[in-house]
Amino acid sequence: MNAKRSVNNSRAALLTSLAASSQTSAWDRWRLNPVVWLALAAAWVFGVGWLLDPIRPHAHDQLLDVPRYGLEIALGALSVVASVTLAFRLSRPNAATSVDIGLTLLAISAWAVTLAMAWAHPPIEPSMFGKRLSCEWEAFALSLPPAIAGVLMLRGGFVTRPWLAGVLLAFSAGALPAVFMQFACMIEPSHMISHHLLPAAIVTVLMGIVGALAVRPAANRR
Amino acid sequence: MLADIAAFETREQRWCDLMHAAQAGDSDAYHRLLSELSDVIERYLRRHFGRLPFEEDCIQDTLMNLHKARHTWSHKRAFGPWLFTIVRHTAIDAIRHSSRYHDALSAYADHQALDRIDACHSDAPEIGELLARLSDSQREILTLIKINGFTAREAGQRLGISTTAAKVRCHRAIAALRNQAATQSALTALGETPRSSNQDSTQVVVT
Repeated sequence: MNAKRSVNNSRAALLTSLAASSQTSAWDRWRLNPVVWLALAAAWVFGVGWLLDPIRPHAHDQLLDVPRYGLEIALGALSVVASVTLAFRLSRPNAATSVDIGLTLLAISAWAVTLAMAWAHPPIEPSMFGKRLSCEWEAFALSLPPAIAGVLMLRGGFVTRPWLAGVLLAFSAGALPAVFMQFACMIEPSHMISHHLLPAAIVTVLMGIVGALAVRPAANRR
Repeated sequence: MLADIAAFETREQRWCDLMHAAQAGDSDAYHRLLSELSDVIERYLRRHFGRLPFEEDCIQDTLMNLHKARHTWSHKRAFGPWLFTIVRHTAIDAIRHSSRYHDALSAYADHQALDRIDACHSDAPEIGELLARLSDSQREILTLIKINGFTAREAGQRLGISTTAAKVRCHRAIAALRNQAATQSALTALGETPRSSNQDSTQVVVT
């Protein structure tokens, strides 16, 4: 009887203390908004990337003049947007549906297909024109801050599928500089694989593991 | 059936309103909501997981998780699925944590040399007598870890040695204790008096 009363007392005390701080802050809501991450990450990647080395001349014109090249860049950007949107949705309990997951996988697969086609039959004549000094290291350096910032943002939510959320976030952070390099650096199939996509793959795997472990609700609690 | 659906919708709407008010800073609404939800959570846990031995801890953990995740609910989404996703995850996490805890306990029990010595050597001397024959450092580490219940890290901090050194010292102390007990039993069977630990050739050197 006393034990039951003590349990009820402790729960009542907990309820009272929790109720004292019910209001949510604007930051709590903003940090789970994928648009905030996308804006910051895109500003970082394009801003710093542009400052480090100039963008390949006529790259803008080629986006419109060569449809396959334009499609490849557009699908890359779409993959980043879709995966980061899903990752942030996963930080809200019961917000992500299997349709969201399916559409994201579809976007990523479509991008992978255009990259495979670009590797087999480059849409633009391969050349060293527009080569950047060290684009592979740039890709690493540009992807890490968005990945870390994303993990910190996701930790503010309640992620029910941490592995999926972590890998998607890491993929977005790695793919964004890869898309930028495809736009800003030289066009050559083996260079694309080793200098643009490989860093993205490494970041996806490593930051995916780190992110998954860091965004678990249990990791926040203990 | 229709009445059930209507009751469910009313309840859902009430929770949405209370949470919306709570997010805007209404403490009373939040208190009312959490009080109501604590009973709902209790019923949910009993229906899905039976009577858990750590039920109250699980309920309070869930309430804290709800509080921490309250900003993840949006008034555009249903409240019930959001709530029960958090409840289910917290309960599963608590059960996993509890099973890990019990695994650790049973592993610990497997290594409980003190128990084994006691069970295997019914004619062995008292534990206190065996402990008294150990060196000071061995007795100290065994008392801290196996009797007082400190972790190897805590015991190491108290003795000014590393966690690894504490574990090694404890392991060797148990081995020495086991040897002492075996020697003691053999000598008792032969009718001889045991030598002290300092003269015992089976004594393990402690780091």
